[in-house]
Amino acid sequence: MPALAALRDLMEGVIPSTVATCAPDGTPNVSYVSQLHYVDEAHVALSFQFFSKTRANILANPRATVLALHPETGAQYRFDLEYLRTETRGPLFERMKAKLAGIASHEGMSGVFRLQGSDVYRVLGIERVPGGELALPPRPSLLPAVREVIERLVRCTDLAALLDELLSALDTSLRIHHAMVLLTEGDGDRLYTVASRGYEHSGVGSEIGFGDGVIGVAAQARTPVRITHATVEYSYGRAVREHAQAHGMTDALTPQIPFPGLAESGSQLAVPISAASQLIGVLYVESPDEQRFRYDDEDALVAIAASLALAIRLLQQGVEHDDDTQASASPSPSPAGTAVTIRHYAGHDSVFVDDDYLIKGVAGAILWKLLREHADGRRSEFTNRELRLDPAIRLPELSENLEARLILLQRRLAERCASIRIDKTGRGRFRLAVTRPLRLVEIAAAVTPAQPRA
Amino acid sequence: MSEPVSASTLLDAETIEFVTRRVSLTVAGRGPGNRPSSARGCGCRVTPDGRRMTVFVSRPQAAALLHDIEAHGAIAVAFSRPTTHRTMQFKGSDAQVLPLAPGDAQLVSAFVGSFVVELSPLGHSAPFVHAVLGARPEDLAAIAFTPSDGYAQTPGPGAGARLPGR
Repeated sequence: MPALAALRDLMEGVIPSTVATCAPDGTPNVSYVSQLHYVDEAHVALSFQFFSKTRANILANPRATVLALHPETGAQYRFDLEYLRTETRGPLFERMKAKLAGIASHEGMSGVFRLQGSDVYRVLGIERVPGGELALPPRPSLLPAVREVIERLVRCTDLAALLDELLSALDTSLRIHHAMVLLTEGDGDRLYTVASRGYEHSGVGSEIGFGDGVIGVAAQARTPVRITHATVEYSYGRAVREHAQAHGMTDALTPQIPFPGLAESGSQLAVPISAASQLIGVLYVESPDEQRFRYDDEDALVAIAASLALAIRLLQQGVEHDDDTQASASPSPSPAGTAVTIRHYAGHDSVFVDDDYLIKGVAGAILWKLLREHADGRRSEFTNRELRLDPAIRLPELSENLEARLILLQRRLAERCASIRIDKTGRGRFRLAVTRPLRLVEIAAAVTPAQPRA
Repeated sequence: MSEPVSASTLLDAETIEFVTRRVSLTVAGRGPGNRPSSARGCGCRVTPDGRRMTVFVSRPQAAALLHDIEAHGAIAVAFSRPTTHRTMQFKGSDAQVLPLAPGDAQLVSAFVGSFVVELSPLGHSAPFVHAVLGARPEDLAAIAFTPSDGYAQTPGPGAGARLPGR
């Protein structure tokens, strides 16, 4: 029997497969199935979309025969299957649901194809049906590229460099030109973009809710989600808009930083970044081309995300140890020029530079603390440790990555505010550089709508 | 007493036209212990009155199916047109494996040609279609049966509905 993993390209849903079953009285039935999905070396799943004769038959008599075509070579395979169970939620279901949405969009069947369940089958046998076969163009192994990416990751000694190196390595070694890293918010129902590459606007600081689009579903179900034909159902314009509406966040005090994704995405792949069973974030890649990412690319990204997760955790621990350094109290030079007004809304820590929205949440609270201390005592040197210990910043306890918040803040400042800069001065230490006089305006929480802190 | 119908209402002229060109077709049978068998078909003809349908398969691709049909006569055939997703299934219980009639090899060749035309806008080449359906004439087998049931299977709310007929 051929190894199932070697036949995964058959299971991309480009050409529908057919499934034959028999009723208890022996009457055969054959129907088309949108998705034959690789589960593992011993199992496949078929998409259950409509209550049908196939469904009635497998519940009474679990044997099924599937005919599938390789979409490029035309090689035909026959799968001898035994129905085991139907999953209606969880990782497998979410993967198939997203993939089906892509297939439906490609086939002009959006709104018609809808996954009711993932029917899981044991593979009893696989037969190469005698017949012709076209030669495939040679496809080089992705392993050397994966090795190159991982070797670059393991050399990084701080988080900002790690993220930049990852995106650069994906670009050069795997030719993935549009990618971003999102990290979880402490409370664990949202993600924020901390680094991106290949977009007109970096989108650093933009947020995605769990369950929204390919990225949100990958985070929620903790599983890679891959779409070979992009679909409106999983598009981000829509996801972000709906999330904002659902959470009543259309008010002017928390403007949304636009998500950086491609306007015309053809293929999308989101891979969870996790270590020690804890979700750290999501690595997301996309391409304007359809069918750009195959199962093999998913394997490659999963391996890279695993290395990335460990590197993030190790660097985080390193920073904790180095945090003990005391910040020097050297005064910074007096800034000159016209004053910039910085407004801080205490309700959800949103910060505006003159009239432009800059940042909110934990990163907003950090910036406000730095600016206040800078104004009070002309201090410019700070440590991660003092931020971590400051009750005003209220870092969420679990899995909080202070370093990531600082990168986010540093990048938003670099993009949006020419007069304030954050420079790293060593592990766990940084300097606040202010080049113009600042007028700090605190606006009390009562002014803002009641809202939980992001 | 109603008049006996002169032609099958299951397979009217339009349906006959649908099943005989530009469709993908899959044939299923019933094996020992109610295990299904299946093979891809590479052509179909229907008598003008719609009462008898003949589908063609490649013997090397359909060994188990042909064996099962000879043993039980139970058959199901699904037809689907890739560009429109229109899908229908017909079933019968009197299927027989027969030798090819004169003209059948040419009919199969024309059917494969029509499928090349159908798949071209979807990005599949003629060599691809020939790799899938290109059986040697001497390998072809004909399976003939009387369609006794038909079902609409086009994806959507009406999928699975029995076609009006006898």
